[in-house]
Amino acid sequence: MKFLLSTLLILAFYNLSHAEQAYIKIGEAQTKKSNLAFPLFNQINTGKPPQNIKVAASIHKTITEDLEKSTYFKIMSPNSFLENTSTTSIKSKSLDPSGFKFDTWKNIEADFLIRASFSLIADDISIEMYLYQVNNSKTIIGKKYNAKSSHATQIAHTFANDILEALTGQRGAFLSKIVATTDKTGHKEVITMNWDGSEQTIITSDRSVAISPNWSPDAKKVVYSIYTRKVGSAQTNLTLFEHNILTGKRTIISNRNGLNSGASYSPDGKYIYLTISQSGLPDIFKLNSKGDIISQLTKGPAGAMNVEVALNKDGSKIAFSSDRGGKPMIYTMTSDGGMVKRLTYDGKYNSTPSWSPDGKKIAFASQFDKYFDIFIMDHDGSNIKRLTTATKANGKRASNEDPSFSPDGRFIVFTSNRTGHFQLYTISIDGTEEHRVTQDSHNYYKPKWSNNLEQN
Amino acid sequence: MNLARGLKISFAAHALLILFMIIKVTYFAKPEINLSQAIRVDMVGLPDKYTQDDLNTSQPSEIKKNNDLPEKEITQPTQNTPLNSVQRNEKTKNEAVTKSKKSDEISLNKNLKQKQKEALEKVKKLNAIEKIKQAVLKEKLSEQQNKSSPNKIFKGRVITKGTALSGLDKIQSDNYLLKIDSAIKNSWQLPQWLIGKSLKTKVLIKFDENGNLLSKKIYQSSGNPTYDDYCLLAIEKSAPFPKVPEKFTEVYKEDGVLIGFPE
Repeated sequence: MKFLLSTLLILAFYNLSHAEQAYIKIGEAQTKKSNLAFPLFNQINTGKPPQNIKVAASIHKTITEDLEKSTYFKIMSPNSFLENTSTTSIKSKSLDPSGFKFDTWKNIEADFLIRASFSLIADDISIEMYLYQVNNSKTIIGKKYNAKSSHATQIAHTFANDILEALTGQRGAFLSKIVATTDKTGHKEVITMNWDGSEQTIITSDRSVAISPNWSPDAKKVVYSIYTRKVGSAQTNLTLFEHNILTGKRTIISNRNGLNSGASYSPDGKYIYLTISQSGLPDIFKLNSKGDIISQLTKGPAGAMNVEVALNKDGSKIAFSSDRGGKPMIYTMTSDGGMVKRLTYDGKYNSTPSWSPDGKKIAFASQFDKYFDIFIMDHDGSNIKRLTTATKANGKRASNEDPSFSPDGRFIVFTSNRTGHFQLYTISIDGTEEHRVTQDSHNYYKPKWSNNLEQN
Repeated sequence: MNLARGLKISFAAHALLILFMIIKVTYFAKPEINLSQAIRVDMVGLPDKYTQDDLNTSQPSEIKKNNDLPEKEITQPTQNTPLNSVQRNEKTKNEAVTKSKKSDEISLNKNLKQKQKEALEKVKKLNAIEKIKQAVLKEKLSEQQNKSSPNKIFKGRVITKGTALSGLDKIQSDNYLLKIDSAIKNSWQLPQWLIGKSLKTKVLIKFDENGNLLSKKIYQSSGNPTYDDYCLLAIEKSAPFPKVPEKFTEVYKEDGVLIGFPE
């Protein structure tokens, strides 16, 4: 009897656990920008000289712009706030009697809230910041920053990176830089700037035509090429220089006959990959940091050019463009020149490949008609997607050229002449969000995004 | 001559029969009705768990997961790339990508309607067969019941249609589940950084006859607490649900509905 009962019980539970539960598969979620409330800093030093307010406002503005451009957030307008944030403290009511109530932020449908205080005493900035998740009243992170006021921008970008890391697990590219060439001075010089276009500095004064600048991995040096002529010679070369940003000193790396351009550092900074045409045809060479040739990676075939070296992040693979198949197309090979593979077959002219930091994607520019557009594909050449389709004011298609990946892999910087001048733009890699980086009526060419330059 | 003709007819008839069987088996196969389902109901209805009132209410029944629901996987919004929609005469590969996206969206709608139609017809056809099966089953069940359980009080609870709903009940239940589905889907949103992480959470929800949420709990966690929170939030935002058809109130109150994010 007992046996029968237990058998029955087992049977019953077996069936219960296997009984078909009403079950709904909801499917993939919609992407939603998170509503982020970021009230102005609470000023904690009394007196508040106007200078303090100005510094605080500029830091607040930089952080807000960083977070907005990250594409993750919709920054809420202060007009929608139900709380006077200058009278509540930066902690919640449960921790601090004068603190804020989560309900006032829930009511306006904020997903996240950043509360921070600011003080500037003498030359020392001090910021205390908390990031809250509103719907479950949780503190996600709290941080303190102390720095001299000359580092205000750096604090702001670090602040924004910390917010991003706390939420997404990945730091932003807010402390990276862009190098390009510009005709601002009437010549073509090399210019560096922050990723958002601030702090532009022209670093060369060659009064020549600077071409194809690129960062060293630590962004302390920039390589670029200019036209030179050896004394007493009729031969004009495109000579590769290395420019030290700290000292402003430049040294010649390669001045072989013909082209010495399109340089790219190895990830350890010890080698430079370069296109040299001393034998008459442009081929890719590996040089040491002094400029001695270590090896020749490409040779034709049949008089083809091989240019625009781009190394992936670990330095194991090279993407480049070559016209060995007739039209210039994108190819990859190992960094010792082996296993050459053609990736693109479409378009008239495919050029300037750039690797995503994870090595999974390659961005490039492709020409169809009279203009270029930016495309992205998997590293094996599959899954090509167009990112840009801008038109000029006259309705004609603008040219979008020279893509370069951001160090977080979420954006691409490129040039576009949609305003009539080649300006720098960034675009998210899904092609949905574009931002103009430079805001003038000069031209910028060949941008390259640096590595992340945060010192931890 | 007659023999040849007879053979031909016989061949044709057999071919038809085989075709019919294949179609029936592949498209109209019903889950097996398990006799032990009867035992299950019996055990659930252990005497002191139920008051007289309970016994008077409708029979417990369960809703089977509806295989005819349109596939959720393909309903995810195609990536929003306004910039790309302008292109013409462009790179062929790329165009193919965008084109297929658009046609996907259209065919999706068609698919949905067609699937619903098909499902309806299917169920109608099945209804007749089902009735016969049910009758046989009922007989068997009551026989078994009489043998195994002398307690006649539970007879009313025991004679059920089994765990698989069929016919009208199934349509009604599916329709109701579709309403819940679309309610939750509307509020199922994630920040960009949680998209494409292949996280999976199952939440068990229970609600009363008016559709008011009684409980929601993580049935199977994704391992990412933030993701689990967003799943619960989607349910919170979509409640209360539409009023529950009377015959299912018990099911949703007791057994609840399992919601898979995303599957």
